[in-house]
Amino acid sequence: MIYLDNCATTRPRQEVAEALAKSIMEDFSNPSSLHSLGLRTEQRLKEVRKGLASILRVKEGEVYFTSGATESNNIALQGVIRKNLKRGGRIISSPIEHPSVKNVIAQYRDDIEVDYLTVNDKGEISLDEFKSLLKEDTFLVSIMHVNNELGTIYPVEEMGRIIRGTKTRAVFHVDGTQGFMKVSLNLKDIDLYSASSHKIYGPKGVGLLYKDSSVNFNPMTYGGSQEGAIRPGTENINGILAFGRAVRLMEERSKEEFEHVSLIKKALLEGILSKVDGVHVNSPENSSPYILSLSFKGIRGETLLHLLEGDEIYISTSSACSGGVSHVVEELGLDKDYSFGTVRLCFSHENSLKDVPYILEKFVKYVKELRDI
Amino acid sequence: MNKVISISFGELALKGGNRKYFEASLAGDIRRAIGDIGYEKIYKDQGKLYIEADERDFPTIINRVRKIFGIAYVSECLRVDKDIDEIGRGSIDFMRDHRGARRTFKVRTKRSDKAYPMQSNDINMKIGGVILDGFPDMTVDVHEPEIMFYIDIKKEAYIYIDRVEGQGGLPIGTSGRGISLLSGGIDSPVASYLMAKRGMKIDAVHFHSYPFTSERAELKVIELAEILSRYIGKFKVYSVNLAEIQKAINKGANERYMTVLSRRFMMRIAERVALKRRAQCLITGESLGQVASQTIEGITASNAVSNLPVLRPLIAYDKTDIIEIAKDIETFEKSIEPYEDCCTVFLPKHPVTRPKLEDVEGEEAGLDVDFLVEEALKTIKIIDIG
Repeated sequence: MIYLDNCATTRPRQEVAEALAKSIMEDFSNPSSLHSLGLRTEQRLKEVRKGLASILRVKEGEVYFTSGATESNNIALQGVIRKNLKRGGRIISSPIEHPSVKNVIAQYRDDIEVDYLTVNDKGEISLDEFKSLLKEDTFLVSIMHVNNELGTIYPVEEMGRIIRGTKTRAVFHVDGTQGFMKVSLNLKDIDLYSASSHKIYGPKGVGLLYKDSSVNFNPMTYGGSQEGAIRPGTENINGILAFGRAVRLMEERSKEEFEHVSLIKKALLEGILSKVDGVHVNSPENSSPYILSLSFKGIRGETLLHLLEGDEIYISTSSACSGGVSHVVEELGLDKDYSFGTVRLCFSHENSLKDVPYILEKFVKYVKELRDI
Repeated sequence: MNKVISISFGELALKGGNRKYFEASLAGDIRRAIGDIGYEKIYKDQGKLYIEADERDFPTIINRVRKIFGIAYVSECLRVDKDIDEIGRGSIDFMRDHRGARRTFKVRTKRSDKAYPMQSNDINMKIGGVILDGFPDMTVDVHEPEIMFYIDIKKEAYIYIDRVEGQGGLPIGTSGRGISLLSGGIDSPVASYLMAKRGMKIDAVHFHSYPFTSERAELKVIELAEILSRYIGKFKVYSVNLAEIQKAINKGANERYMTVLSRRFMMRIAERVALKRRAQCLITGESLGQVASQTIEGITASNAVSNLPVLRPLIAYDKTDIIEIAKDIETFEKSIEPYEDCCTVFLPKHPVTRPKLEDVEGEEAGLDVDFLVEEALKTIKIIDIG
């Protein structure tokens, strides 16, 4: 099996799976319980939080565990937006955000003005335009660190500095789902940051929200006092411990892995461009080495996907036969002949440079076959 | 005195000489439908079937039995000895339990036992009086009674009020076998249902074109088939890959003929499946003029390749009427889910809407039809439903 859909989700590392299996029997007690069993679990939870805080270089009390980035995005965005509903104001975002950002903002479109940054055919934005949109009454800026369909990296550190240097009350939210532990980032000028465990070989159902201590808002869900009461409910303690394990392993190996996936992406891209005509590369030059988006002229991405799965090569597409193309690919302004043939390859430590010739051979074969139909 | 469930037949009450066969078939269907519930007995008493079972299971039994084709009504009734005083006592009990807030009634007796000493009218009068005495707040209304109080005099007497309507139709298997062309759309499940309701034993053929369609499209059809099986029982879906045929058509014929040529191949393959299953006809969900391939010319072109009769129960239905049935049999919600077949890859921009048969045959001339059909038959996957 050659799994190239690591943006959708990753396979947990062996060590993570073992940690989860062990923990689920051992650390079953409720961290809120007063007895010593509860205390032990509470301390384990604290250790993970501490470890994450130190990696993110933030305070321990600023890290909140959630069920994943979708929930983190919701807590952060709805929290900030609801707080500003009465007073009103503006939001800046991009048109190619993940649905868990895009659709949250859309929920409030009747009450709030949204300024969308324009993106070019690589999904990139312009900082000049950003500066010009940033107003005194802009109360929220939300943008992803790495685009999940294209790999485009946004200059979020610089955007943070611009916000800090401008007379505005804007809170800065960054959806870090595809960049977390993969593309380096300093959270110094960022107020809210979301991430998921299952994109870095951790279990599904766990994620985090970093919230700068200066930002305050009401929770979306009311309940107990867990996670600073912004995410109440008994913690997914086993998931969180396994997430912690995944983060520590990523911390050790991310540099090496970055080099590894960069080589694979480069080899695949060069191979495809030299062997197949009519290919448009949607990922920009300096994109995340984990993500490669390509559009093949005159074929359907989904058909290519199904042919490749026959050889146990698993990729993804942004366009389903019936559903047209995704909102991200739509924004790129590609010719229809290309946009329907958009596929995405996402890499991980499990992929090997040795597999590249085989993958290339299959791509060349099937693209030709489909074009001959 | 005890409660039983009575089952009135629909049309098969009229079937004369074949009646015994229909009744036996229906009794079998009922046994299959409630076998897991643990009823005591199913028996016949002059033109109706009766089920003896634990009263607590009545609602479940009634709900299942009413979905079986060939049944007009299902009722909960009280079985009593034929003695008129017994009938009177039973009537009081039954009325008390079942009248609810209703106040007006009329007694209607059906006397199948012609040797019974009282005439129907006399029984009506007698029991009417008993009820009036027993319930001083009730009155008789012969024109528009709130309660029609039925008494059937047979080997024993049966008292009942409310009749739950069944599906009508004929018991499955009494009208032969058919192969239905089942897609993931709205129409074909309805067509299959309607033919099954007329007593036909159905199996289905499904065409996909993986890798041009997703596996999810096939799963959707299987889920639709599972819904259908609530009515038509166990059956088989023969899933056939049409991709190679579509590729061949795309290469060897004018793309405007894609749809009609594909249909012709589907009919040929379905016919082969039908012969194998000893089915006597094909069933499609075509409705005249609904889409480009369902013009009379399009239908003529696809019809021409089948030697079996092709039944099209929806041919004169409006889409809205088809949707209504689809909602009623609960296939609609599943049918409108996405993952519809994405033969869109091959969908011509301007399909011929009124293809002439000789032109269609001309376009097909360059294709090795027999070979393509044989190859497609090799891709068949058989899925057991129900």
